[in-house]
Amino acid sequence: MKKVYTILAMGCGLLIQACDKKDNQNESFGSVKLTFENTVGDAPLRLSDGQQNVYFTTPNNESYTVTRYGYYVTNIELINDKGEAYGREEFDCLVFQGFEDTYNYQFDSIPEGVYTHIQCTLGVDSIYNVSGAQAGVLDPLHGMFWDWNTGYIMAKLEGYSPQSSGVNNMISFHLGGYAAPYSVVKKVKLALPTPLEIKKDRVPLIQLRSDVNKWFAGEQPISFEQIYSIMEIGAEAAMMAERYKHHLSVKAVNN
Amino acid sequence: MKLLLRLLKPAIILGLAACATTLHIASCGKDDVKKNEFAFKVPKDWPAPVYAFEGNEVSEAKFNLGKELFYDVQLSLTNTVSCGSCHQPFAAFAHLDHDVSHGVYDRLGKRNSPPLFNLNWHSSFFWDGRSNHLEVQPLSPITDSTEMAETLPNVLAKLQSDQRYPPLFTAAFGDALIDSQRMLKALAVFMGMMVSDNAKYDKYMRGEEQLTEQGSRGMAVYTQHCSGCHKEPLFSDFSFRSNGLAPRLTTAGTEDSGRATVAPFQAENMYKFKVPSLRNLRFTRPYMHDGRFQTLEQVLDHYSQIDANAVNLDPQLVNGIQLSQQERSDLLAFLNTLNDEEFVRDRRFVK
Repeated sequence: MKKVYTILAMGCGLLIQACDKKDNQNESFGSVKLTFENTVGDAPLRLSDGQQNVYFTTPNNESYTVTRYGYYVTNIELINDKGEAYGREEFDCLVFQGFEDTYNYQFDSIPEGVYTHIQCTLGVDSIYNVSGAQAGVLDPLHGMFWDWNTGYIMAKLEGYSPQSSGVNNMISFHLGGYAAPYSVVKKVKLALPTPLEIKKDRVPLIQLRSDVNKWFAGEQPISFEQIYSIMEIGAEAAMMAERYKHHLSVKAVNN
Repeated sequence: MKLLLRLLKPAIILGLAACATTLHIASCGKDDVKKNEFAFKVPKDWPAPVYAFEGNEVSEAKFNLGKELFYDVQLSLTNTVSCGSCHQPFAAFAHLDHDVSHGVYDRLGKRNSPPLFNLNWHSSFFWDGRSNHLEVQPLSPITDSTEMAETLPNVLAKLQSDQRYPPLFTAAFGDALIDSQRMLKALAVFMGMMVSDNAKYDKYMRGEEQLTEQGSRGMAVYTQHCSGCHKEPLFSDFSFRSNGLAPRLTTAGTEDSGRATVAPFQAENMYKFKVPSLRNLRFTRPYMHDGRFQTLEQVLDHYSQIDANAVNLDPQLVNGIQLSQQERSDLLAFLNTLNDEEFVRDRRFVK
């Protein structure tokens, strides 16, 4: 569809512009800010560096530290009170714990209205895993791209646990895989605790929260003694993704 | 994008109707643009390529940038290894006389450096097919510890501080921004333009030349015994198969299980490798994924004495390929018609 737009824009740019303007007059647009905070349960996540370590406890009562935490939230769409979804191709986030500039995003040109849900993809849609070189948050430069088995690392969690059977008690989870039956790409729809009002000249805020412990929770919580490293596509990654898909929640909306 | 489309829908409909004449005029003008050597052309009667440079329109400026990058040793940790080090133009971009290639600090790789041509028809890259797109393929050799052993941020920093590059990126992409996407797209243009379609076989197929009598007989041998995997006109179906080569230890001291190294692990992928093209064999010795055979005679010897119990042996090879001496020399004569001298001498690809 992008192509259609490009061709038309080239062929009759002036007319499109005119039409676009007319549309803009009929509808007003506003912006929204998104912030991310990472937690373990209710405690703020803090990274350990081997010198200063901050220990957390899994749902399985195992102690662990986190040295790296990053994840994609892409294809973000807002759903209004009429059930209509609005999103743009560039509404993508890549959050890294410890890098504050990755916590905040602003998305513009959203039609005025009242929005009740946010919908997004945890990970990167399959199409971008098979379409060659990407830019922005999808730039392989961010270290979230496998070159030995093409595709994005949708989320990455590394650290240590005394219970881990891994080398040096390491825990390491790189969740990847965009194709059935081992896809870890999860689409989620989250209800906003209070409706979001998009209005011209105002920038309301959605506070999102990622809980690391959700990766390990479930009817049968993960034990680092058995599962301490998942670094490739397969059944284990898919199993972990079934837990990880609950990591994101909406903490609050500030209109 | 969804929003944009929604907004534009009325405009598109309106625009389509109102602009029909404009578009028509515009397209008439375009027909007059003379063919230039930097257009990507699909040879007559070839299948459509897997990658037709979608989102990466070919231009001379991108090609020139891609060429500069392809031969730039700064892509490696030690500034000593370029793509061209292991992919030499005169070897149809394979590494002549190297069973495996040596990267930084003379570290040895595990597999034979494959030739580069007709890449846009490949559905995957590397002997194990681990890469799914020509544009992202270079990330693997750039970061592999036995090849260039460099990181993407380091490579970009080097390019950004090299005064040759801002003008090349500007010419190719409109401004001097140097990022991984542009670097990779330019490399894809340079490599994708390596189309080899001027072997004697191609000229024969186009009705421009005749095959010798022996070549014609060899073509019949090929059709009967080889075309099941090495499919015309690319001379590969790009599938993964085991041809019964006995596993050997690699330089890493482990067996190479081929396609099975690509996750998710599947036992039926053990010892399977991508079917290589039969084009340009004269320039690309040694042969096989580990370069174990120096001559085509040795390759044909292997096919005549295949171990029927080899793991995952391709069903077409259970009886091996038994050729009479006559058939063998006929086949070699036909394979000789697949060598594209014009391609290996094409100055556009030589630095």
